[in-house]
Amino acid sequence: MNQKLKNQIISYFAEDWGESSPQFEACTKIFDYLLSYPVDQLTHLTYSVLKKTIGDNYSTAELLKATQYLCGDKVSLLSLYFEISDEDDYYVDINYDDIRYARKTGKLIHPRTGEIIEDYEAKVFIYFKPSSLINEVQNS
Amino acid sequence: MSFDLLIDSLSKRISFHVMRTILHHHNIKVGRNWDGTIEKFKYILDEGSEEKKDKLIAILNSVYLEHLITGDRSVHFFKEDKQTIINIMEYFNNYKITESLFKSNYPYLLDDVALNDTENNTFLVDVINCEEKQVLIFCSKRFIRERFDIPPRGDLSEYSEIIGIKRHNKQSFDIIVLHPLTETIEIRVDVGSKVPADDRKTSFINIKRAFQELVTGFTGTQFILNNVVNLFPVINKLYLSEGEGRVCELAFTTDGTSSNKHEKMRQRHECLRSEAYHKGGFDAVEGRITAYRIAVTWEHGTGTSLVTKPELFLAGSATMLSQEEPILTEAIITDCAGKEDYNFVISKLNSFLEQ
Repeated sequence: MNQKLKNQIISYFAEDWGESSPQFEACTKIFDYLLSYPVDQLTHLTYSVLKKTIGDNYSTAELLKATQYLCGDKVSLLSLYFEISDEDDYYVDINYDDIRYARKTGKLIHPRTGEIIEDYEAKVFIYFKPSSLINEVQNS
Repeated sequence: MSFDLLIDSLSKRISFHVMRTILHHHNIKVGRNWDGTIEKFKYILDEGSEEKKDKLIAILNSVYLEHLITGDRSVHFFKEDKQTIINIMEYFNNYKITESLFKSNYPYLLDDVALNDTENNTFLVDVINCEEKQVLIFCSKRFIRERFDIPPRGDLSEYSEIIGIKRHNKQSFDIIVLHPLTETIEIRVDVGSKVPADDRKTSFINIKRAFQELVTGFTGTQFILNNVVNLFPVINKLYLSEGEGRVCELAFTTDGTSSNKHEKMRQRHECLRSEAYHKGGFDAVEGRITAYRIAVTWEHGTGTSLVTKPELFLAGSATMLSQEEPILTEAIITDCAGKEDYNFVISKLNSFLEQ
């Protein structure tokens, strides 16, 4: 474990949110969770998993703020992914370019079938994976 | 009231296994199925003493009326302030219920011909005040798709399970319960889990709309039920509550990885929590799973002469776990013998909502 890097990341949380803020606590809890398991066991983190990690004392808005921050440029601990489920309940990843295109045109193309997905905003879901920075903290 | 009408309504609305338990409790002889049981009823009517006949009719009537309110239901709860609920109750107490074919035949079912000829509308048929609550009973004709197990016979004998979908008109008895003390308005849609989710949703929207329109008509201002109770948090708490009922169906994801599992016990009275394969998997991931769909049965009334197995089904979906705030508003409650079972399940649901 790279303790120095870990401490540095926690100091960023404190700097950006203030040590007594709910966001500081939420970010620290998520960070601890990401360091507690090998990254190959954290390949699909939904909002529910992150909410469970931080506990019931935080609002949805606080969770969203924390995940947004952890996906940001300064302390990038989480990578954001998009997915859609098909009729057989299998999930397919959708790359960000396709999402951007859909936001511009209102049309999302299904990556497997090539068909236009109606009402795509209700069908696309977000999940997260630990970023390479977590690997760095864990393995150095 | 004709006895045939009562029997027809009973046998169409109450599943045989629930009825068998109730009849055993009342020491009434039961056949191998509904037809055999009806034969036994008819024997009492033809050959039994007046006392026996009256007792049978009284019991069957009371079972039927209770079941109208607490039979298989898809339930939604809305929070509303106490005074608004009291005002609505007052309006309904003074309301002269509009005449309809459903009302004139209430509480019994219309025959198929009359049902097919009625208009597609929702009709209030009764207002009952009891135990500081008000129960509103609405009837409508509902075109439903219902799933039935078909015994594999003849050319189909090589199949172990055959499921048929039947589309037909069915008379529904949807219930709205106004609880001023708990500040809750409860909508009990007259459908069980065998009706597809889309059809359940349509039925719920129709009864909710009918109620809102009536209240809007009373008050002159638009009334909308919008503060719905979210039941999703109950799912995982109920699963993790060791010893609380028996989990006969469970769907969950493993936290952190992308696998969904859906497990079902072959028998409803067995519990998945203690099943070896499930336990092994649970331990292997150190309990890091999140349930999103659960069915639990309880053995209720143990030690009494009426032991029942009411079931609560919370049918969430995996995609709900990807939402910032998963919301499930429907609970499906089935296999209740009467209001004691129904209230028992509701009290369980409330106790997990309050945790």
